[in-house]
Amino acid sequence: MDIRKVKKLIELLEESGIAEIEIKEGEESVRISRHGSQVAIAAPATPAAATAPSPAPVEPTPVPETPNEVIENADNAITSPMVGTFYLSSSPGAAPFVTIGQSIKKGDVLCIIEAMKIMNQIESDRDGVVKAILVEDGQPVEYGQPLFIVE
Amino acid sequence: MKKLEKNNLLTTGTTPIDRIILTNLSPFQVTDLSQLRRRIDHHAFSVEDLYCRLQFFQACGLAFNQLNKDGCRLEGPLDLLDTDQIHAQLPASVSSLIESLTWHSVTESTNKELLNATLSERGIAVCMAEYQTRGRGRHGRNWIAPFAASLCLSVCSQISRKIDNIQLISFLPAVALIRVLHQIGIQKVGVKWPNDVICNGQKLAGILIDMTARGAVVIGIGINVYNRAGYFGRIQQPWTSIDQHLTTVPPRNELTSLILSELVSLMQVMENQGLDGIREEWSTYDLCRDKHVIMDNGSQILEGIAQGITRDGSLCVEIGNETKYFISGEISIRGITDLV
Repeated sequence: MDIRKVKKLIELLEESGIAEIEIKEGEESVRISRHGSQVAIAAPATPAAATAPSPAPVEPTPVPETPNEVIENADNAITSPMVGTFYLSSSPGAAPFVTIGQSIKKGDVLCIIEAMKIMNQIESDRDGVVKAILVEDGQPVEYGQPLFIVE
Repeated sequence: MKKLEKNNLLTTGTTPIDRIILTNLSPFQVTDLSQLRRRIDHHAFSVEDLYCRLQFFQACGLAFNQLNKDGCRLEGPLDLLDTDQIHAQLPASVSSLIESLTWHSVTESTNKELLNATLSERGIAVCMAEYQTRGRGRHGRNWIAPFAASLCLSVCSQISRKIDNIQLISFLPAVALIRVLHQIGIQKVGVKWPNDVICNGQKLAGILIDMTARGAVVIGIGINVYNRAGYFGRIQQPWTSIDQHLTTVPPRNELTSLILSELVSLMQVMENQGLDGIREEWSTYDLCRDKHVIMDNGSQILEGIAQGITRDGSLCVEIGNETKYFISGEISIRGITDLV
């Protein structure tokens, strides 16, 4: 599902008073809840991500953080080393470098970030499994922006 | 060799056979397919395979006056690339650095061929092709170039990480190309940020660079040499070719060696002095400066007046009362290189 759609859904949830929302689109579905960690891409996976703000159940207004804020603090995010345009495959129509659920090794190419018509190959700095791809093909990315969740 | 399927002809493994086929074609006489098959001297390569391969070349933009199972005749002369000739025309200082110079009749992309090349520290690898099945442009575009009518050339080397503002390497091939175009008599050329080579508002050459995390850089260059109007009709932007600006076009081998010479010597300059000088020369060719430009960065389209580049090569555009800086995006110059 389009990451922007997910963002929009989170905004919707925040504006409304409802606690949980589930959307189905063809074979894909996403469930977003105010409590717990149903927002898969936003959930800090390990205790090491202690600095990641998470809605504290005892707080009177448990407003969830936006996904980006949570992910930026997550240890399992691979962030952009540069400013440019994000590409998931080497050329139009070619298979993407990685897909969700794929096991990867340190040094594997994850994506390309283009700046000044230089296609910079971005490699994984660790072994793991791709849990989420946070940017859409062809979109601009900033320095330090989370690109992938690798666990 | 496996019998060639019509839909599965894109194999680089057939390059030696392709070389024999291509060097035996002529616009002046009909080439007999049975005779040509005997010259190929490969037991599993039938006249039918040969005919299939020629049809494939035709689909790639090689123009024939006649093409059937008996014989074929080209529409015009074929200016085929030849690695020996190119080597012979290079100055010794340049050819001594080139560790490999390879030719493909058809390949996916010359950049891709070199991306995993193993090279010594200062060594250079060069790859050329008559046709690319997956030539790349920016923003998901394909680079379209008909068979043997353009130059598809890639140069790979290992660059030292200590070079300041390495992204300025984007300007290097554009500067090399403009120097060569000046040498052969095309003066009215400039560059559209970051490295499209433009002649009279039309694109003459495009550049795309791949860089690996291990510091290998592959510079890919595509230059339109001969006008193939029917084929180029597929291109979605104004284009031109060298033959539209010169009465006598230098052979593609000569063009290739001129480009390689400039490129390799500029790469030496870069290694020794950095990229500041190249950026300054680039600025003298800048077509965008003080022009009304339209910038599409994939998520939004902005318009303003281009103000040149920063020290790190970003394009400065004055939008309203604000100056914005761009490091990525597709630019068109209003009234000059408007996208169709």
